[in-house]
Amino acid sequence: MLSKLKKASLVVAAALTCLTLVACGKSSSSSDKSDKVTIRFSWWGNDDRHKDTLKAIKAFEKKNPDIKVKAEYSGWDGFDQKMATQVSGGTEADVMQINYDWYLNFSPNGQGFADLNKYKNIIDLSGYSKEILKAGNIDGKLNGIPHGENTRVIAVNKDILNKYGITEYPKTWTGWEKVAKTLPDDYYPIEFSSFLDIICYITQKTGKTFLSEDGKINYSQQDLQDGFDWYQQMVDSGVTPSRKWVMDTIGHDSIATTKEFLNGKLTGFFDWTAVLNSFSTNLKQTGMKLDIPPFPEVENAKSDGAIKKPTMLFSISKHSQHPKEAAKFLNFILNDPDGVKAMGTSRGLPVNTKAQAILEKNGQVDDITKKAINYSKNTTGVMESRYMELSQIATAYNDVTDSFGVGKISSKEAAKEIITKVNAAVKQVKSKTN
Amino acid sequence: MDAESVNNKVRRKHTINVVWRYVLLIITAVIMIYPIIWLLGASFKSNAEIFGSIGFLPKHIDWSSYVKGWKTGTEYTFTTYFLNSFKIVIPKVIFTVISCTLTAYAFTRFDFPGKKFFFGIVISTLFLPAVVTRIPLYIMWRNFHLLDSYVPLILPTLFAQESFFVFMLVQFMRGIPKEYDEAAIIDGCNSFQILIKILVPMMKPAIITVVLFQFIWSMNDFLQPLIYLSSVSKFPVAIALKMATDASSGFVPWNQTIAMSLIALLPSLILFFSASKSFVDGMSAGGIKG
Amino acid sequence: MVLSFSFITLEASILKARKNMGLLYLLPWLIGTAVFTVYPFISSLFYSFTNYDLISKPKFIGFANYVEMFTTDPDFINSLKVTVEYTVLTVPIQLAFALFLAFILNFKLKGINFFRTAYYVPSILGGNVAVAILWKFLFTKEGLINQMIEALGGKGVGWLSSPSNAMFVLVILGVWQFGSSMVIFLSALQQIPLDLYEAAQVDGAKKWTIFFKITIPLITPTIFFNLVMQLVNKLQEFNGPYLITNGGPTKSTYFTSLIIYDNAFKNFRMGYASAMSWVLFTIIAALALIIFKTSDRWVYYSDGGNN
Repeated sequence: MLSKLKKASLVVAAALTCLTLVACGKSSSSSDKSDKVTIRFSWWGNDDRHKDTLKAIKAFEKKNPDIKVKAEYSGWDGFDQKMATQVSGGTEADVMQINYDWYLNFSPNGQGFADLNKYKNIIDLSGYSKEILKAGNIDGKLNGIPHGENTRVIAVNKDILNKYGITEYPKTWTGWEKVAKTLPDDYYPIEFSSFLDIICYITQKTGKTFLSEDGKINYSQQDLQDGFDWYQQMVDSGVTPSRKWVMDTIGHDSIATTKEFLNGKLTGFFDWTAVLNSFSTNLKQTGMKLDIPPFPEVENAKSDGAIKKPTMLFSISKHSQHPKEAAKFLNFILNDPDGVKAMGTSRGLPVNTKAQAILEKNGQVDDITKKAINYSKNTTGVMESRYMELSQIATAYNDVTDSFGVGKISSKEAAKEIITKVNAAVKQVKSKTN
Repeated sequence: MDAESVNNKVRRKHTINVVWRYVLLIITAVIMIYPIIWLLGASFKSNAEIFGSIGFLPKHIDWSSYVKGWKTGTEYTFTTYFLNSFKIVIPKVIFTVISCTLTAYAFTRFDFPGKKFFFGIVISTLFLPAVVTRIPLYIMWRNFHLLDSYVPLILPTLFAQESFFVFMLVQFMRGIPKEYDEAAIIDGCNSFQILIKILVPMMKPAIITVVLFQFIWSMNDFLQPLIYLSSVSKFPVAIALKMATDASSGFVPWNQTIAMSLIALLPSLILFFSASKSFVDGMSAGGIKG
Repeated sequence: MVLSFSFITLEASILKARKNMGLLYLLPWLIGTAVFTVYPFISSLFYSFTNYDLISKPKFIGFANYVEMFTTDPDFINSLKVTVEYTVLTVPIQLAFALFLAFILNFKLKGINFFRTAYYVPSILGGNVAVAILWKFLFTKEGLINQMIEALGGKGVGWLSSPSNAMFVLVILGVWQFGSSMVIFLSALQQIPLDLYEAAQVDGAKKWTIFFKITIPLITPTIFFNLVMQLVNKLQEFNGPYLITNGGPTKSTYFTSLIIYDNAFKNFRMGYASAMSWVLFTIIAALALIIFKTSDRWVYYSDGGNN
């Protein structure tokens, strides 16, 4: 016992010395003394994604025997905290999978990650449109390269609609109101209740996105009020169940795992293209099929109103000791046929046209994803502001939408509150970084 | 009334009493564990069946969720993750019992300057939400160069840093009359012998409780290991359970997650069940008869 | 024996140098606290007076964070209100339930082990993902609870869209996981010397009299412990609202720990989150102090109560 105590106090003393000596030190490099360079790659995801990514890493290591890639992955739960602690401790991985809105927190001035423009000769960006690359660009520094693109989409249970005699999809919202009448009372053709869906409608009318790139509101209060009124009309005509109904039935979960979706009573839904896969896999187990109808519109629409955003960007740490090797690896998974094939579609379809071609040629694109690509290509929309997904701002508009949805406030009040609350939240975010 | 009929009456009353108790116990048990039984059923179902029906019997028994779940989508199987968990949990339990007992002993049986103040610190460490000490702790361990090891998870328990257990043992130790100590001193025991020979045996139920809780809570703890460990090869079961749970990244096989969650309960359940037996051993020293 | 021998010599030498044997036993804790606890505590207190976004250095801003949460931030006060409401509802029910079941489980019956284990199972689950799925199965519109209500002739309830119902769901979850308090009560009951009961039984005391006059007073230290710990835990409750209601509907279950978490790791306002934590710390400490002060009156210590 005594020697244990002694030992322990020695450890503690040594540790304390370390603390004072290296309190300002950067993370230790992960390279060994040998010629082999080790880079770390971190991501979150589900089983499929882990398997595919590990495959891609193996393929890369085979081609580059002098580089070892250490895989650091887990599920989504808690990943945000892990990431935040790592970044604040300067111990983040060399290559990271990053969420669109995180840049506002991690890299408000574009200084938080390595500027990938420096590695343009290593990473081939020719398959990316200028527009989509803008998503990873902060103050002229390329902080991240988007893996995919997400588009707001409506998808429906084809079998149920067919069963009730609907074989041709309506092209307008009014058309869907008619469908709602054709279906039994407890069936809803398209479930939607989020503020994003209301925005899609307003975008169709105005051709503008809700928040500009720097977080300014582009809509007038009247625009917003019209949006809420329109949403109420969709509820009243039975196109979508009410927000209250959704809360009780679904909670804050994805509807992909609800009884009502699986038995077809929620016949369709409004969501991002990236999640179609989990919906379609779940639905397949009940023997039914998912389909993508054309995006319904208002008359004289100025845009199709399908909001778009990049999904999962890849960044390189500014602390990386081996940025070139990291860039090489990034290029491998984004452009190299072997890398692209191994990565597959577990992160959704890549937005890189080169990678798309490789996957399609290799037959790795499933039915619903193919439909989603066609849909995204043929539907015009607006790129969502980075601010939209930020927790403070999302909380602000979701809160107001909830209050409206349960009948606590009128559409006029909702419109007014959206403007004041979102503005306040944006101001808050900006003040933090200045 | 003769003696025999009185005896019969007493016996009958006793039987009725026992029956009543069982009825009560069974009803409560059903309410408590029906949900778990439902989970057991769910582990055999497909996603569509889990979320689509509320019955607990699966359409057909299919063990593949267990087989696939055990294999995981990662480079390692649950065998690795379980071993890792034990590597963390077992030292934690041992260290906690030793260090917290010593600390509780100091607080209950000795007087020293600053005692009240120190005890105040023990209790007040429970009051601050862990969220805000996470970053400073992380940076501290980074400066110690001990990230991606089990040291940040285990070492603090060697120094009685889990106030819950210190506080609990203090409460139990204070329930033991000091006359026992005094008798032991007369018998020539030193202070350490009093602790080991007198107090620890009397506190057996409390110490078993510490073992149980530390084991179960450490098995379940997922956030701390997630933050301190970066190598998947070092992950414990609690993280492995969540490896696939990201609905936004696509399909999540919930049956596998549930199946593995249930398997992960087993070590805790077995330990609890056997510890509960040793509670019974203690019955000779305490407890109500019949 | 070697162990105790080294302790004896140690004891002798220490006794010469220092009068207080207690400090020796306290030594591990003292070292540990100095190394592992003081630094993070002081840091978070320091952060609470700063603007700290996790990526750049904290900037000192005085009491601005504290002023903000009580003036311009409507969510914080509300979160304190709902957290206290939750605590007040959950703690007494949970403790009464735990004590009652511990009492029953202390009987000598065949198969009692099984029941003890069964009752503890919900608490082993903790914040497991399975709990979220389970709760969905129970409390959605056509979930088990509503089906039972309907079978009994009632009308299904919207559990998650109304603030009071959502709170109720969380309270139920809190009470359901009563196992830890129960186990602690159980071990306290086990520690009661049997001769006390026997003496009472010889005196012809009724079972309930024994329970209230002997059992309860003897386990007051444990009741005290469970009360303090449950208050501390419930005022910091995170899993329930995080997994099940996500703070909703309309922030009616947006507990303080959730708002702290959101500010710390979603909004990257660690300074603000730290300030909130220290306010919560003060509230819990004040409550604990009151309980500790009143404990002299109702907590009975067999050791004479010199603390």
